[in-house]
Amino acid sequence: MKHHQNSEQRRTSRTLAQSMVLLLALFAVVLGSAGRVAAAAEIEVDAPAESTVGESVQITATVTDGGVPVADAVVTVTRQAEIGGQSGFVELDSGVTDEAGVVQLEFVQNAAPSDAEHLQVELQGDNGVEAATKFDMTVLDGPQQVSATSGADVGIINKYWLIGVLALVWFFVIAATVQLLVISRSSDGSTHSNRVIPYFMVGFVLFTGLGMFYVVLTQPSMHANLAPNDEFDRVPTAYVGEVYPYLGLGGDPADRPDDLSGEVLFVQAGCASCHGIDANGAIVGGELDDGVLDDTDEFTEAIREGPDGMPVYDDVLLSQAEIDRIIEFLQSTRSAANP
Amino acid sequence: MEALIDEPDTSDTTWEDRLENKVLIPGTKTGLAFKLWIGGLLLVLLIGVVAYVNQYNNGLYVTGMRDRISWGIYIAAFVFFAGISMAGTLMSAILRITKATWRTPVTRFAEAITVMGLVTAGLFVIVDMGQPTRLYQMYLNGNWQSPLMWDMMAITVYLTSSVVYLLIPMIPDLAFFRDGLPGRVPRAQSWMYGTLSFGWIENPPQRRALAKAVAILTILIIPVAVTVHTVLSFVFSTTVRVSWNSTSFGFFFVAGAIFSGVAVLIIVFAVVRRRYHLEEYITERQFTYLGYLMAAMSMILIYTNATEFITKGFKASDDDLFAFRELFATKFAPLFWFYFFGGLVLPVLIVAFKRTRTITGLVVASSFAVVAMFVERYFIVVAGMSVPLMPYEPSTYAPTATEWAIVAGGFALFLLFLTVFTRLFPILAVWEMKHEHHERKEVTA
Repeated sequence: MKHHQNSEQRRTSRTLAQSMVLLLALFAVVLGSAGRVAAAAEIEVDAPAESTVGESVQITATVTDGGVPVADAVVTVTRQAEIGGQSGFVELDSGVTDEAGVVQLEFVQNAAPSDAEHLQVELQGDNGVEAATKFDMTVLDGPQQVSATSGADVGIINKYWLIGVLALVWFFVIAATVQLLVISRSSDGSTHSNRVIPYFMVGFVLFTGLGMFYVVLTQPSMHANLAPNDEFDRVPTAYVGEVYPYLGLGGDPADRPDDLSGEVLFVQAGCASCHGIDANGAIVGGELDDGVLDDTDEFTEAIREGPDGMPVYDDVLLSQAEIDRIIEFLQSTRSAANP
Repeated sequence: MEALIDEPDTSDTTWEDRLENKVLIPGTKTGLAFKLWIGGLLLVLLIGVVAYVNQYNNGLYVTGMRDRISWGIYIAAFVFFAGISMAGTLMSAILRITKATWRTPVTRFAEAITVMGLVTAGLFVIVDMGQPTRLYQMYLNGNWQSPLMWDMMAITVYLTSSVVYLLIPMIPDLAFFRDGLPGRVPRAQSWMYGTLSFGWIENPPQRRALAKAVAILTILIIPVAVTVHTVLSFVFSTTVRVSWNSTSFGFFFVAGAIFSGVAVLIIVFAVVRRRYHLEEYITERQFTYLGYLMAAMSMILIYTNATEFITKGFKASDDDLFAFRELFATKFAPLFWFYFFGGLVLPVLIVAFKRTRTITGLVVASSFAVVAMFVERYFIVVAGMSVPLMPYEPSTYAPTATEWAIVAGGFALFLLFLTVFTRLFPILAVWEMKHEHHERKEVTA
């Protein structure tokens, strides 16, 4: 009897515990859905339909919840960035809504990989993005994103002043050196001295001085960082640091994600900085065309040994598997370009 | 202050003969110690060359320099040697302009150190290049908006004019060697004296031409030297690095250059004086004066450090505080405090007290100063580079064995240049010394 009573009691307490757990779970669900209800907010975005590279873009976002403005909400505007098959949203600006639920966001338009920019205004909550509104923007061509706004352009300060100063200084240096000729020619010939070498010396100084003028006169007077001109136009490059933290060269391969695509590696290892983002060749590095890629062993050997002043990539900088992926990437783009 | 008063004239009839004999000795005499010294220097230089060949074949990857700290001990050595070359200008040109008579035994070496320091400095720029065969691109396709271009132009003018400035006042002495060493030296050496003395027979037109050239160069070389060292500082202060954001860097570099140059001069003089027994000509007077100059420059440097750190520390941005913490308290603190107390304060103290103001004391002070100035160049370069520009982990740098070997090779090359110079060329400006001696005798008569 006593035993029976015990089992009865046990059953009762088990039921109690079970219902408690159920109740708790129910409570959690209600609480959770309450939270979701609270965050079922809407973001209304007022953004221009198009933007120009290098200019700032203003966006007004209004956050409402069932028609009621939400104040003190953290809102960000992000753009979709893509490289080597990896894609994600990168923050451009963030702000906090005011009493009316309105926030002003602003960013400078970077050169976009295509004509359209895919943007998203996000409401940030404790558990990440709680609401988002996507919108597109047409990107118009403009000067490169880094345009020099500092510095003064004073017309009368130009390179002719530099040339003038150089001329003055070299005039004196040459005038002093010519005295060697005077000394040599004033000799009575009683000593054994070479009459040709003084001319050589004066000639050398003259050559060096005139060489300096050649250097100044032949150099481009446009800084490569300023507005694009025919010779120094810059190409838009990928923004590696935005998707992946910048790792730099020479790191331990174990620290690198082992799923980096050939395209990412091509940029990250620095290949693109000489050969161009599409491997079409540039001033320093040549085009990596089918001819170069035909013999993959030779190509790998070139990466390892660095011909014609190219940096040497040993197996710390690029593993064999990584080189294979780069070759794969290059071959795919080549065959796409020349079917 | 007795040292500022001229010593009693100890002239006698054989003063000139003794001077001439003394100066001719190095050209003819070589001992075992000399050969060992040359051999040792050549060995260090050879190790440096081997290390450089290794670096050339494998790229700058064999150095400690990486993407975040991309300048290291080579650039420090470049600035150091360029700084040493300032000594020549200051000693020779400024003192010649003001007709300071005590300078005459000092000038020749000062001018030689200028040329040798500059050549060594230039080599370190090439060593720092990953692909030195592209140097010619600087001339053909350079961009003169780059401070490196200004540097190249300033150094070209400075090197050319200092070679001429070394050569022209040496012509009468080379003529003296040409006449005084016939048959005592190899033929090639005699030929060199004959050629480089440009048929000097000391006739009036030659004297006029010489005086003209010396006058032009003496005045020209002072502003040129100042531009060289300020433009050198532009390479840093126009680069976006927190510690280099300074408008007083030019002043800072010129002061440091004069300081280290004078210190090197004192050491070189002490060695040469002892080795070739020139006690009669390079007297304690020269050492004391150079010591005073060094102490003054040292105090100026202490002050320039204060201006640098007070102006930045007063505003104290986060980046500045990071740089200060590394410099004063953590990574570079031992180097900085050695520089400050060992390299700047100690020389002042040594010069300040009469008991320590001896030639030995001054050589000790100078040695500290020279080491400290190298250390200063090192932490200006590396500590400046180590402040992150973006939110990445601060990087570290340490010279590798290859870099140490090449830097040691550079020092060996500089000393080798200097040794060969003392061996082959008139180390004292005999002509100017005689001239001054005559003038002094006339005044006393």
